Amino acid sequence: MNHFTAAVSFSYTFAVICTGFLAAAGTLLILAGVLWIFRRLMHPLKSPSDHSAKAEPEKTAISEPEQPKIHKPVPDSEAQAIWRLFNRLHKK
Amino acid sequence: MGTFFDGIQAGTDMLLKEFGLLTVSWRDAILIVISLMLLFLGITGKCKPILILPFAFGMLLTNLSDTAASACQVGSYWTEILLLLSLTGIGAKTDLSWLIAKPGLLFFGISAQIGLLFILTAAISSESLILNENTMTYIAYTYIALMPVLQPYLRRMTEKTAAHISTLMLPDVTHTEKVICPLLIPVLTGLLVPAAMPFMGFFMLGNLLRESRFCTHLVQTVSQSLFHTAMLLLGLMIGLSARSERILNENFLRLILIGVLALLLSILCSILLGKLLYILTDGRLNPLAHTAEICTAGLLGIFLAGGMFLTVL
Repeated sequence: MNHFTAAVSFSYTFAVICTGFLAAAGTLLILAGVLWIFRRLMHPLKSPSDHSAKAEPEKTAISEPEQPKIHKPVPDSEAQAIWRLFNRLHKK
Repeated sequence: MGTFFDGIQAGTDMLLKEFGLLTVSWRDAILIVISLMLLFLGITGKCKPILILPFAFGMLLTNLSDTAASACQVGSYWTEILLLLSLTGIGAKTDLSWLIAKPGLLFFGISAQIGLLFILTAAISSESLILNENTMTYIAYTYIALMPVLQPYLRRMTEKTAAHISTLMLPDVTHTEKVICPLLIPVLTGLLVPAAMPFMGFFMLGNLLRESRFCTHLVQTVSQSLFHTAMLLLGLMIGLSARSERILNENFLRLILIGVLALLLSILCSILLGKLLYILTDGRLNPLAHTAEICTAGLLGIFLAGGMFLTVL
């Protein structure tokens, strides 16, 4: 085999290997792309308006006025009532 | 009919013929010394002992006696099965959360493929090398055998800068995503590069087992007992096949040199690509913070490139 034939043979095999390399790199890119799309499907990107909406919740135009809280007296338990009655009787 | 003394002489001759000290050649002696050095590195913990210890011990046994090699001779069929089982174990140990959250990390797989490209180019440019399945297997073995030796030295290259990495929070990846990912990748691989299917498939099987919540015992077995058994047998078998007459020749030494260069080239490309991505993304993608994910990406890249090269060559 002379040098020319050897060089041609080498360049041919090298081209085949380079094609394989590029195809493998391309496959990786496709995988990365599919994973990215999959990720975006599961976690859709939020628009800036969504972010602002989350930061400051919109106030409705007709909002009910806040009712003042009425502090109802807490009813005594039976034991406390008996104890109070006992003290009153004892004082008398 | 021989006399009693003739019998003694014949017996002595046979014993001397098989006497270990006389059968060990200088080539065997070199490999015995190398295996003892590797054993020292493995025992003292300077190299990863999981692969280096069985490999070095197998190498020591096979060069001391022919019988050790013949007793444990098994076909490449078993080696492949063990390799696939160890990949299942690696898959069961791997968390793909970061790859799902940042698919851009898969770009690092390309740098791992550059090493393979170099190996193949060097192999075809060397006239004495015949590129067949045997050569490919030897290259793979060289890769596996050299990795634990070179790894501690390579780690030092990045440790200086690793101190600046802040602690990372795990990405927000749902369980559904984690389950679908190991199903999606083999399906795509099967459609695009069918030759890479066994490696990719077994790796993702391990990962799927990890993510399915009801296989805890199976995951434990695959990632611990089975993985270590497979690695032990794989290392031992590679070591037992390292006979001096097979290894100490010009062809094989050239292969080892190509393996070392390819490994270094892959790592160098990974570092450069990492630095490039760090600059391009303004530090948002810090490769040093994702070393485990980059290794996974490299593994996936090698599976795909291996399958692709097997298809085109």
